[in-house]
Amino acid sequence: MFDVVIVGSGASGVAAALSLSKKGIFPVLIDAGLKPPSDPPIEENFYDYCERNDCFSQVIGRNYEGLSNLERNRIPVPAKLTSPKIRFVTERAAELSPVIENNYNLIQSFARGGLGNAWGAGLYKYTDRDLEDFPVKEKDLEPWYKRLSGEIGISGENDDLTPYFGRDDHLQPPLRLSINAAHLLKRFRRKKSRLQKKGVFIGRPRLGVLSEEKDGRKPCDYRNLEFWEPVLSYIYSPAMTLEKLIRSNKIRYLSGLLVQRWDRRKENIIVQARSIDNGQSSTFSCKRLILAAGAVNSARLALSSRNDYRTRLTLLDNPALQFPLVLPGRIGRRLEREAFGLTQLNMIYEREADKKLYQGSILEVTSPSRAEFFGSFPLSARDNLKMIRMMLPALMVMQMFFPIGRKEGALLSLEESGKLKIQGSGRRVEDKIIGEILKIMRAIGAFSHPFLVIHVPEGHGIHYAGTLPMGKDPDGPYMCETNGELWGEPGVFVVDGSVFPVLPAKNFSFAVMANAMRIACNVACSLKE
Amino acid sequence: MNIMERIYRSLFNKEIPIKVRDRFSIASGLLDKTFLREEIEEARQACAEITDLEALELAARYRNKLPYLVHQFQLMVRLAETIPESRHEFVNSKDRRFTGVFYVLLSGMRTFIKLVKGFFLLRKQNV
Ligand SMILES: Cc1cc2nc3c(=O)[nH]c(=O)nc-3n(C[C@H](O)[C@H](O)[C@H](O)COP(=O)(O)OP(=O)(O)OC[C@H]3O[C@@H](n4cnc5c(N)ncnc54)[C@H](O)[C@@H]3O)c2cc1C
Repeated sequence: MFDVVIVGSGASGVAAALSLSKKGIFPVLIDAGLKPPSDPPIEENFYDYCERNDCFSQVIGRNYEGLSNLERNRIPVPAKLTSPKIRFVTERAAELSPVIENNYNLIQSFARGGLGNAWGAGLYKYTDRDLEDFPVKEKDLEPWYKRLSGEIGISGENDDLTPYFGRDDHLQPPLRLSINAAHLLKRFRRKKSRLQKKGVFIGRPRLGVLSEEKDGRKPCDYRNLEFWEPVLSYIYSPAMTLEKLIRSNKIRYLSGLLVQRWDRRKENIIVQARSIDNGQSSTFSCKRLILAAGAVNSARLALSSRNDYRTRLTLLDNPALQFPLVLPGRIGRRLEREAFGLTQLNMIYEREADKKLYQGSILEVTSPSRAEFFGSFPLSARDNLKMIRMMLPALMVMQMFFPIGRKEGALLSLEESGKLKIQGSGRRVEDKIIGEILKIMRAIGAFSHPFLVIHVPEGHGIHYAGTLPMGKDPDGPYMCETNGELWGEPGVFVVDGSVFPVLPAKNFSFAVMANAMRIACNVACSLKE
Repeated sequence: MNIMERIYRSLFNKEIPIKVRDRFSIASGLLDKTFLREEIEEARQACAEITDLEALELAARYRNKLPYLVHQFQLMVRLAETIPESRHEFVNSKDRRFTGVFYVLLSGMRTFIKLVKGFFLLRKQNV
């Protein structure tokens, strides 16, 4: 009999485990736990390496696995998830959690550390404005934000975005900007007052990426390896906290197990799992169960534990657009080989027309394979190659996230066959908004065209939430109390994105982690009582 | 010359390196399974009768035709990039501002001509 069992080792699961361990409770963490391959890491700058070595096994993979996006009729997944050393993050998902998708494109992880092994580590506080429709407020999360910052090491700056991101006096200095990003920021600062009147704010991101050494982790060394190496000491991933907790015996980590449901025997919760290798079943008895399997798989567990094949739950994910941005003055320049290949800047657009906040991450594209962009240019094959050489040094991409409410979500249900069914909502961002954003970008010297803007397929925002929302007065079996407890299921708590009733436009993982710590702390207190 | 060699030549204007050729054959074998036999056949037939594969691929891409041919070009570029000898085709390692702008303009014009030619070839092929 265990005090606490946690399902899942992603961002939410490790945050909950960390919080429990600080309270002297050492949980059992059950996880599918797929591991990265043990190939030796690239030790130098990615471009230097590829100039000196045949990089086939790093870029394509010995089994040609890096080419999966070229399969016919496949909706391409983000390029990073096809990278040979990083693809373990989404491996075996179709087998371990089969899903029938209608107009939806789910990305699931059964990896040790979850999706956070591949994330961009954009870590943003939800402020009171973001939490308007939540039963918790910023002050409830603030202590956990602080502890997490201490654990993770967040770089950034208190700048024009502070009113949106919240003040943080413990930030590491921001990373060195790429040449392109420095150009954009300079242009913005020149036109700041005019743009700010229109609700446009640009500044440095808050990243779980070190610019200075921390706890033996080295700072970012600008080698463009972000798309190729699963473990980079400077990018925080939940797997780092997991390893630390395992090493210090603060948790018991059981990997290779897929939890299938829970039942009750008197006061106790009986968790049923099977081995992902040989199918052998095992059961675990506990006083408290914490679901941290990601919003989709926690919902699956809730539905299958009740043998419910009728209920349709709301599944949220931020709608997103990708804007390729060209800086004309940089065409034909030398490619910046010493850069950080992820988010450089953030843009907040506070839109007058609907009073909503939109958030964009402006990314450097120096890390992905150059050939990845071949199909993105509209020219002939040989001319596209020239574009890769001459145009890519001038290219950035802005990933823009949009908020989503409960009415706009997809619908998720469980079939008797054990498959999940997800029906996409078919929503699309209005063309008018695209036009407005392009105009803003032009004002800071970055050019694009509506024809080039990519509507990210529904589900590829990869911020899954809302399936088991918390509310002040929960009144249904798939709602949670403010303390994370699932309605009608004493002792079962949910800590991942499932409990978020709506999604603001910010990347949500930092808020998910802080909330998981808050809930886990309550669980610890309830056990002690 | 087989199609693979011709695709490489129309991209890089030189002979296909052995490593790329071998890898292309294997990769093609794996990915061909995701295409219909008719799609592969249709592309092969078009390639057998037309010399300018670059024009054909461009027009096919615009018209959503010959998906197999379009895919083979993409595959070739992905594989070619991985050998050190090809890196200079993908990475600009010197500041070439004016050449860069000139290339962009020239490429636009060249593509336009190829596109017109490609549409004509597609029509001729009845694709
Ligand atoms: C390319 C990419 C970039 C991203 N960038 C950002 C970013 O910049 N900022 C941001 O905030 N977010 C980002 N995200 C999203 C973020 O990574 C995820 O939302 C977050 O990590 C989710 O954490 P989680 O704990 O809810 O679930 P997951 O990470 O999905 O983890 C689920 C865990 O549960 C386990 N599990 C699931 N079901 C079972 C079961 N039945 N039995 C046993 N174990 C189970 C899995 O093994 C896994 O360990 C990004 C994601 C990707 C892929």
